Parts: sequence; structure tokens; C-alpha cells
Amino acid sequence: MRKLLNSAVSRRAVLGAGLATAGVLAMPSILRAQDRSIKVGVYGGYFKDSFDKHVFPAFTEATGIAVESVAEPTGEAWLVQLEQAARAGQAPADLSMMSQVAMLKGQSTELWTPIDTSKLENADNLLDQFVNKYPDGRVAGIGAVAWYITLVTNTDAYPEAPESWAALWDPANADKLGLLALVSNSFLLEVTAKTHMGGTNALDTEEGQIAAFEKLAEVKPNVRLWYRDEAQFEQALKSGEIPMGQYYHDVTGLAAADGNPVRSTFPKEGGILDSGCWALSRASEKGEEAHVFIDYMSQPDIQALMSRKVGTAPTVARDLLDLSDEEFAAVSSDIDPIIPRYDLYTSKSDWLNQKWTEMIAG
Amino acid sequence: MRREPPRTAADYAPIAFPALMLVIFFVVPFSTMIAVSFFQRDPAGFYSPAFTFANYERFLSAFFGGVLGFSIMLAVMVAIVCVLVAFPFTWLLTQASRRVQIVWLVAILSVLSLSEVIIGFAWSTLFSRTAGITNLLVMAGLMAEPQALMPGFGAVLTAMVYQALPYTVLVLYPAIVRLDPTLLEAARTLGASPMRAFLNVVVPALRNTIMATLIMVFVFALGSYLLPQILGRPQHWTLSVLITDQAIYQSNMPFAAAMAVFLVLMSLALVGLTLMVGSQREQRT
Amino acid sequence: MSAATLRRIVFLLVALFLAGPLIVVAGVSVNEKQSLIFPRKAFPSHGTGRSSAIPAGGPHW
Repeated sequence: MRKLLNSAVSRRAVLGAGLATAGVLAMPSILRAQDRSIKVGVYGGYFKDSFDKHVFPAFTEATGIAVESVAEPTGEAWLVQLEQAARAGQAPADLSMMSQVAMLKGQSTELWTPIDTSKLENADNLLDQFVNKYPDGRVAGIGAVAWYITLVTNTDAYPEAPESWAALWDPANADKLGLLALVSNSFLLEVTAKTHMGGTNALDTEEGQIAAFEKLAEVKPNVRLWYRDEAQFEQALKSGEIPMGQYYHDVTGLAAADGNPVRSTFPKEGGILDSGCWALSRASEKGEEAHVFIDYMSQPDIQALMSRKVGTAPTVARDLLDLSDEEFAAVSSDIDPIIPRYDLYTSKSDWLNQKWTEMIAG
Repeated sequence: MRREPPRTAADYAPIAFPALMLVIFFVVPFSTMIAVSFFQRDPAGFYSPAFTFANYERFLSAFFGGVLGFSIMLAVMVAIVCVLVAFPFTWLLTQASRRVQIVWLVAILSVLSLSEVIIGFAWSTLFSRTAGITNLLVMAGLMAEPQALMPGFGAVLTAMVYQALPYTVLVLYPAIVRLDPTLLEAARTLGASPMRAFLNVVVPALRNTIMATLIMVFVFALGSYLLPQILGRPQHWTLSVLITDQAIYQSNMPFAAAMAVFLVLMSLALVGLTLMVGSQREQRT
Repeated sequence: MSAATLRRIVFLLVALFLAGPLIVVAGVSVNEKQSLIFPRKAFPSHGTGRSSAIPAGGPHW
């Protein structure tokens, strides 16, 4: 019963089936919560499952606002749907978890209702890089989750952990790597720049970008799989079929905890720190609830809870958190991270995409 | 029943429904796609109505030409392999007992229930080093150690043939079943061996069916975008993969539409060419 | 080689080809062991959605 009542659709179905009375008696808090509600878009799969289990019920209990979670595709596909719906005055979700590139693209059409940080008690907790701003300083979005993409290896095939992203270029690793298939989600140009060109600033100019492509093309003989589907690489990594590659630190940790022979290593050049923001569609009428939600999510307690239960890196300063060193190391690292050049994927996205496709498929 | 040419508007009524369906499910979406292919791309992920050839210009490059050529070559190979396997098989099937035929057709229908994703992952397992068929060969003593058979062209081709084979059999079956048995009897009476009768009588008699089947499988295979990704290397990615990338990941609908229009036009041209060659040969005979 | 033998060989080969993936799917559907090599979780339900534009476990498949 409890499980059924957790999703709005089932709830309607249950009520429709004439079990309304039973529902009221069993779940008074849910019924009260129905008075105020919010639709929240979360990346489908692992994130939605984790949020549905660990985060949303606690939020409803604390605030009386019911959450209807919506499975969304990452970044652009959802961005396009949100924009088209907003033009028609609709909001498929009030708040959505959006990638940084999608945040920037949404800004160009004023898709995001500015967030009023004075309404957020916990706004000061947030690290600067997790506050997404319009060029004129209005806040477009607030960090929702952050995660690292690191160098991962199968421990059977690699008894010693690699120390540097330079391992991707090592001829000894011929035909052994699994890398993300798109320029805008692999962030390998940034990795190349940080590892071989002194830093991501090397990508400021077109010459620098071309030099990075040329350097990156040298890894091609080492790559067995350019993956779009995370699960495809994860299974190949666990089985040792593809023993090295780039992957998400959090889910690699979960796989290792399950007893799989995998490890995630922060290379000395740093892991890739990517993140998603909470952003409010301009078509949404749930501004009040959205602010309550963002404020709730930005509490140090909740960030610590997410680090423990979901495995994401916190969006608030570490000293506010009660995470032990071990717990912190499981989700983050003190090594200076590689921050993706999101600006490039907005201003030069088509050119980079074309160069990238020609590089890997050419 | 005598057929009369339609005279009044009412006589055309029976085709109104199929015509309407054709308009709703083909003409409208395809026209929309053509229109979008001329639209202006906004790098922010959207597009605005315009009339620009920029999307087609971008496509006209050696790189995309190569991808288009590969996609067509792959689809042609899938079609040929499918028909080469399915035609003799279906022929032998029609010679079997009724019960055997039913069992086979049910089995083939059950394969149709597998989606492209499941087919892709099943073959990626069968072709893997850690759990694949080479392990069986090692067990049988035929190989020294297990090997990965993917990613590669062979893996892509195998899985795509697997996906299209049931359709091929189901399309060929009714035509082969209906083939006049006296044709074959005559050939046998005149002293042809079964193999010879099959090659010299059955195959030519069903030439049009074979041609139609080849075209169907070709068009079917041209749209495949998951199997090349799962089982191939980037050089085995078809144009459909790049269209998906543009449409879904880059949200560049105008460019995706232009590529799709190009793909449709190229396949229509190929199909047209095939039919033309076929009908010319028919006139000569 | 008789026609019956030929038919049996062709039927056997086609049956093996068609059955291969079916056996994998059947074998995997009854096996709950997570470490199984087959990408069981990879029936698109497991991805975290961060790299794929198609929602994991979405309506597509």
C-alpha cells in the first residue's frame, strides 16, 4: 500500500478504485500533502530511484509538500521539451535537474525563472561554482547534485591503480579503454588540456582546441568502446572485457562495494567535476514550493545524506558537513578537479561536435 | 466480379480511409521533416522557421559521404545475406510437414518479440571474450583461448541479419507456398536434380518476390542505429547513428532532418533504380 | 547427400542461429547474480542518465 501511494499515478488509481477511505486512514500525511505539491524532474534511472527512496519522502514529511517525480533525459532533450512546453504555457516539471550546458542554453531563451536567494536560508552554504547565474547576475539555478568522472580500472586486469590520465595514452593499453562517445559528456578535451597542455585555459583559442583534438586522436588505438549507454561500459568493466576507462566515481564505488573487481581513481590531474542544477521553468506556477524545495536540498544535513545514500559530491562547503574523512573520500577528493569548459559547448557546440565525430569515426 | 472504372465521387469512397491514413502518418510527418531541414538552427538547441541550405551544405562533405556510403553498403549486405539464408530455408520449410511448418513459424514469430536493444546485448554477450561462444570452442578444444569477436563489422552484420531474418522468412513464405507445384514436378520429370530444379525453376519464378524482399530488408536495415553502436567501432556507425546524435544529443533538429531527408532520397533512388533495371529485364524476356 | 539430410542441416543451423540470443535472454532472466557477465542491468534500466539522453528505464523499450 505504502509503495502504491508513493507515486501520484498509482495514488489516483487507488482513489479511483474506491479505496479512498483506506488511503486516508493509512496515509494521512500524503493526503494533507496533496494540498501543496510540486513536480520535480530528475535524471531517470539511478538518480530517480535514489531520490524517490531517500530524499522525496523526507522532504514531504518535513514540509507537507508532495513531490511527483518525473524521469527526465539529461540535458538537451529535456531542455527542448521544457522550452516547447513553456511556449505553450505548460510545465512538464516545475523544477528540473539540468546539466550545466543545458542551463546556459536555457538562459538564452529566459527559460529559467530567477531564483530569489533571499528566500533561501541555506544559500550562503553553497559553493560558488554551484550557483548558476544569468550574465546580469540573476540566479538561474542552484546546484542539485555534483559528481566526479574518474579513471576507472578492473582490479583483476590492473593490480596497481593508474596514477594519471596519461594512462589513456599509454601504448600498453591498446584496445582496452571505454570512453564516453560525445565531446560534451566525456570532457576529454579538458582532460587532454590539463594532462598535456598545462590546463584547460589552453582551450581558449581555436588553435588550442585543434591541438587538443590532435593530441586526443592519439588515444584512438587504445579505445575499444566509445559508449553512449553507461550500463554497457559498466558491465564490460566489471567482467574485465574492457578493463580501463572513464566512468562515474559514485556508481563505480557502489559496484566495488557490491564485490565487483573495479576501482575508481582520482588521477593526479584531478577528476572531472560535473554537476546538475535545480532550475525552475518559467511556465511553472509553483515558485513558492520550488524555493522551499531548493532550500531544503541545500541544507548541509541533506547534502551529507545524499553523499552517504546516493553517492554524490556535496554542493556545500566541506566544513559544514559531518562527513568522516572516509565518507568524504568516497564521494570526492581534495585534488583540484578538472572543471569542464561549459562555455565552449554553448558557443562552439556544432563545430566541436563535428570535429569530434570526424576524429573518432574518421 | 467485373471491374468497372470509378465514375462518381462515391466510387472513390473506399480509398478515402487509406488515403487519410497515408496523409496523417506519412505525408504530414515527412513534409514536416523536409520543412525543418530548411530551418535555421539556433545553437541554444532550438530552431526557427527560415529557408536555408546550410544544413544540406554541411552534409555535403567527404566525411558524411563516407558515412552514407557505408550505411548503404551495410544495408545492402544485410539484405543479400538475409535473402541468401532465408530463401533456401523457407523453400525447405514449405516442403516439410504442416506440423513442422507451424512450429517453425511460431518460433520465428517469437524471435520477432526481441527488441533491437535485447538483440544487441544478447549478441554482445555471445561475442564477448568473457562469456561468449569462443568459450564453447575452447571447451571443445578447437581454440587455445577465448577471444572477443566484437566490436567489429562481422558482429554488426550478424546482429542485423538476425534482426531482419524473421521478417525475410515471413515475407517469402506466402509467395513460396503459393508457387505452383506442377512447375517443379515438370522439371523433375524432365530429369532435373532437386538442386537444379530449385536454382533453374523456383528461383527465376520468384524473381520479383526476391527483389521485393531485398528492397524491404534493405530499407529495414537502413534505419538501424542501436546495433552499430553496441557492436561496432565508430567507423561502423551508420548515418542513422549520427542522425540520432544530432537530433537527441545535440538537439540540432534541422541538421538531423536534412540528413534524414538525404537518407530517404538516396534509398528511394536506389529502390527506383532497382525496380527500373528489373522491369527492363522483364521487357527483354 | 539426400534431400532430407540437407534439410536437417539447414534447419539445425538456422535453429542454432535463432536460438543463441534467446538462450542468453532466457538464461539471464532467471539468474539474479549481479556479477553475471551478461549486461543484465543494461536492459536500459540502470544507467544513471547522466550520459544518455534517453531516460533509463524510460518508455522507449
